[in-house]
Amino acid sequence: MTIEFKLQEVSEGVESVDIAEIRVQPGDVITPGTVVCEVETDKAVAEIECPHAGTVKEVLVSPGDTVPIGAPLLLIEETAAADSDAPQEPATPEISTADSGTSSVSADSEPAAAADTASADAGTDAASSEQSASVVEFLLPAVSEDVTSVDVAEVLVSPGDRIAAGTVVCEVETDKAVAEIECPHAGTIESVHIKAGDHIDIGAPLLTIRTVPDAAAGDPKDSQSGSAAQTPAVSSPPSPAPSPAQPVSVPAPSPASQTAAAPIRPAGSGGANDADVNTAHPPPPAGPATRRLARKLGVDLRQVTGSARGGRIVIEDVEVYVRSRLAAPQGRSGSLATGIVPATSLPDFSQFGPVEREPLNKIYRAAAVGLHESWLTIPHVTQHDLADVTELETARRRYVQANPNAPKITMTAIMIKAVVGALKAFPRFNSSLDMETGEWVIKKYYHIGVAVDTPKGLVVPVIRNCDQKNVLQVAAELSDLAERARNRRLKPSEMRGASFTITNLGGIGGTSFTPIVNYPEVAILGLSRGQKQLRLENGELVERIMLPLSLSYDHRAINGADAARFIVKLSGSLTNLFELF
Amino acid sequence: MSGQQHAQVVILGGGPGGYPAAFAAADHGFQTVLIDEGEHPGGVCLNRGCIPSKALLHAAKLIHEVREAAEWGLTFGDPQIDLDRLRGFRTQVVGSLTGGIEQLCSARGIERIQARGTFVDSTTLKLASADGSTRTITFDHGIVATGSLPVMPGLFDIGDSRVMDSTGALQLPDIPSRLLVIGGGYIGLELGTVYAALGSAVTVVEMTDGLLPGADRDLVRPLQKILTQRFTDILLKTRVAGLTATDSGITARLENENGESEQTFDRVLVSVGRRPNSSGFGLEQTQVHVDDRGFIRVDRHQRTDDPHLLAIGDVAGEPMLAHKATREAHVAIDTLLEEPGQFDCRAIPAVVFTDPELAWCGLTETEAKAQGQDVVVTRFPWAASGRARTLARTEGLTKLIVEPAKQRVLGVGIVGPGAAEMIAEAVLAVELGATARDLAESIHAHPTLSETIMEAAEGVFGQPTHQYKPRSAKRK
Repeated sequence: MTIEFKLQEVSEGVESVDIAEIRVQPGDVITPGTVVCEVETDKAVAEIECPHAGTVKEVLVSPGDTVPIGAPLLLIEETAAADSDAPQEPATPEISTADSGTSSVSADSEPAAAADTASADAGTDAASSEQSASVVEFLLPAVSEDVTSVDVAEVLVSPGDRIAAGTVVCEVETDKAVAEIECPHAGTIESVHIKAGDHIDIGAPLLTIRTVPDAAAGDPKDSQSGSAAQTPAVSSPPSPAPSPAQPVSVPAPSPASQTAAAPIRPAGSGGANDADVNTAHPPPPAGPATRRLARKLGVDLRQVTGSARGGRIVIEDVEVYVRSRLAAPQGRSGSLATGIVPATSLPDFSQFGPVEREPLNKIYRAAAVGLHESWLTIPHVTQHDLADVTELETARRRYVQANPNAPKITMTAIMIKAVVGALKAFPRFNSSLDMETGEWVIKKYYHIGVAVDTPKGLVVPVIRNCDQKNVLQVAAELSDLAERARNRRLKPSEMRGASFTITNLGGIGGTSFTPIVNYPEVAILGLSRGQKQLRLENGELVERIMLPLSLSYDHRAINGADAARFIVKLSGSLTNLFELF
Repeated sequence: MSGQQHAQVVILGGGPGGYPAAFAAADHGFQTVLIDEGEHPGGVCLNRGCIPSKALLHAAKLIHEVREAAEWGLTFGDPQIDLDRLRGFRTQVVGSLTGGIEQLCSARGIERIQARGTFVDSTTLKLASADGSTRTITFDHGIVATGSLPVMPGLFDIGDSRVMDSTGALQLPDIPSRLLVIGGGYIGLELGTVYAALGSAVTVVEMTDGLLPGADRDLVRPLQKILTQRFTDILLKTRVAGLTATDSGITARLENENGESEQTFDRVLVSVGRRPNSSGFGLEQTQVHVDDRGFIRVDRHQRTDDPHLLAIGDVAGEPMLAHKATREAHVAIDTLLEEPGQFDCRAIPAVVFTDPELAWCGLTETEAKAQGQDVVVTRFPWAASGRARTLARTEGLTKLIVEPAKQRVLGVGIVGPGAAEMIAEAVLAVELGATARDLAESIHAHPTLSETIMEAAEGVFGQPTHQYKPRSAKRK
């Protein structure tokens, strides 16, 4: 069977990607989990794994293409005959038919004497002893209260791994913490549905596991985990999967054999689509009217975020989804590439001379949108100063030379610590402005973004909780982040949440510049190249190293006097080292 | 008489699948013909199933309640049963409903033909009327809604009118002193309840180890306890090896692990299930595919393998329930209209009209266990319900089967008087993807039995108001 492998969601909010690299070609044999291509999003590069096994028939995209989520990437001649076309079956109770005159009716392993021990503990189900092996989907369990979605920080297993019950299979990040996810199933991992950086909801499938029917594993589960309403899409020949013969059939305890043919679609019948069929996950939480609307509009409800309690999808959610999809940039089709409408259209430059067009990559496009918004929103003012860093620079160089194996302490690392001190003294610089409520949102955390120049464009990794780290830790983290930024291996989560940003052009040159605030932050500090200057000190000429500081700020949130105080405090702390540490 | 007639939509079978399909087709402007061989439309449900049985069960319930009332100081004396008038009540109920359907048919301009239809090909039916005349009708779209029939195994088919199927039992021929019910499914228990109330000594024989296979055992238990008092005997894991007609009655040979025994009964009700009605009317002349069990294969749009034919109701698959057929009827007409209808229901309520009633929908605990699905189950016993106390019926139980992460309600089971009506809220909850908190924080009128659903939902994330169970269903 030939299947189309489509581009799955890369991370939250990403609707289209640029194809950076294709790793397979027609004729290649791939296994589930093979990385078939690399794609670029606004901020990061992601590897796309294909969950199917088979032979690549055709590659439908080429490097440089901009494609939306859901676009077909490959045609694959599948080797395993996964019957993914089986209709999903609604969970239905069984009461009728030849139920009582027959002998093979499922014997219920109850009744337990204590009727009130209310927990469906499947671990001791007698029926399970018959099963040889079965396939379970391991879904993301609740991490903590009020957490409805997480970022996948790290995946610790890969297809083929054998795991015991209780193995930590991945780490996820919530807004508050990193949590280890233990898998209660023992067995062999068939496929991994997540990768680092994924943003997933509670209940999302993480792994498909072929469980060990070993009593010691204690958890032999049937292939139909996930939901009663499912036929498993995973191919699991030995498991006693129910026949999908009837779209409305029940797991009937009837002795009569059931044919296993899926309903075919006769020619000439009506054309409604089965948008929410054919998947291995529980049906999306949406009522019949919502489901009908989704079918009518061709919306896959699994792509829609529910706004009601428990993530329930209501009609408005479908409408919002469709509207956002219609408004989304259509790849490289015309001026929608950045979403920014120019005031006047460009002249034909070729009348003046030869030109060449080069497309903005995702990073440039995203930066353009962000900077445009910041410039339109924020009344910018830049306050300049020169900090005397002579002693600091001497001490820094001495330390670096004496400790060649320690993390290299750079001026940026020191500046991060100095800025944290100034932010603590002037908390409004560590805020955002909420114009709807007329409030400063003062942040009690000190996450410092550091602009990093990469061949692909400007990215801003974030060092978290800088107030709790010493300068060595900050320096080590900074060098790691910068390195990964240049290799385009940053996770989206590592580029979110900054409360203040530093941009250092000192390595290149210049005397001062006007950085643009990284909205919704309210201030940004620019560093230029330190220069030796002659200064008068007690009537004598002395040579000092002066570091130019350029503090741009949102004048709505911060008045000029405070900005001057902030920069005086900051540059003073660089001169009087005891204020620093 | 012979003649040629053509219709846009022809529906074969006028039961709770067929007549709503005809109505919906006509309402959307199709020229519609409804064919049924019965004298009155309504199918098994109205004529020989749901409706007459419920009329008789209502009478049975009254008899029991009158007896129970003696305990609270109300004594009415033994009921005087006038069987003719009771049959008359049943007939009048059925008549008024089928008459209503006839009226609604003509009001909608649907032509109703009383005849037996046999497929000549995918777009032609031969119609044989009761008077022996035949004619043919051709159509653009046909909907097969031929329903199901009671199963009568050859072993029991001994050609004696004292051995009845459900249709025969609903005729209420007499009140046998001793009635044997073969099959402990819902039909056997409902009709057994009727006859027991009227005075018969009822023995139920069930081959498996429990009544109502498919239902969660904790829901069956309160019912079984009461039936044990009302019935003479409930023989589980017992097989009827044969029936013999004698002058004194029907002698049944019963086999179980203790050996073989013989008992004689005045009448026998065979209720071992129903089978789809898919043979004997020419389906083989079409491209429709019928599976090993006799069901017509359909997809979620009720389309069969034949592009001209749709199928709905019992003949199109399980569960064989009237309300499932009615929903499928609307899906079928959506399909004809190329509207985005689809049979994607997640909760088909199952209701057993015994006393107490049993009702459930969505995922059962038994299914969850069998599938290894991680669920939270909370139970709220009716002993803690004020309303149940006022009814002196505290044996009931309301349980919720909930998905742990987001606490979505996946299934609900209820046993107790009124469960049949209460399940409606549960169906809505499951179908809409409601969470336990949605149920718990919707105000339920006091004092009603519906409060038990609210309280069971409270148990998912906290403590029900009227129950305290330390560390009950709460998960780590």
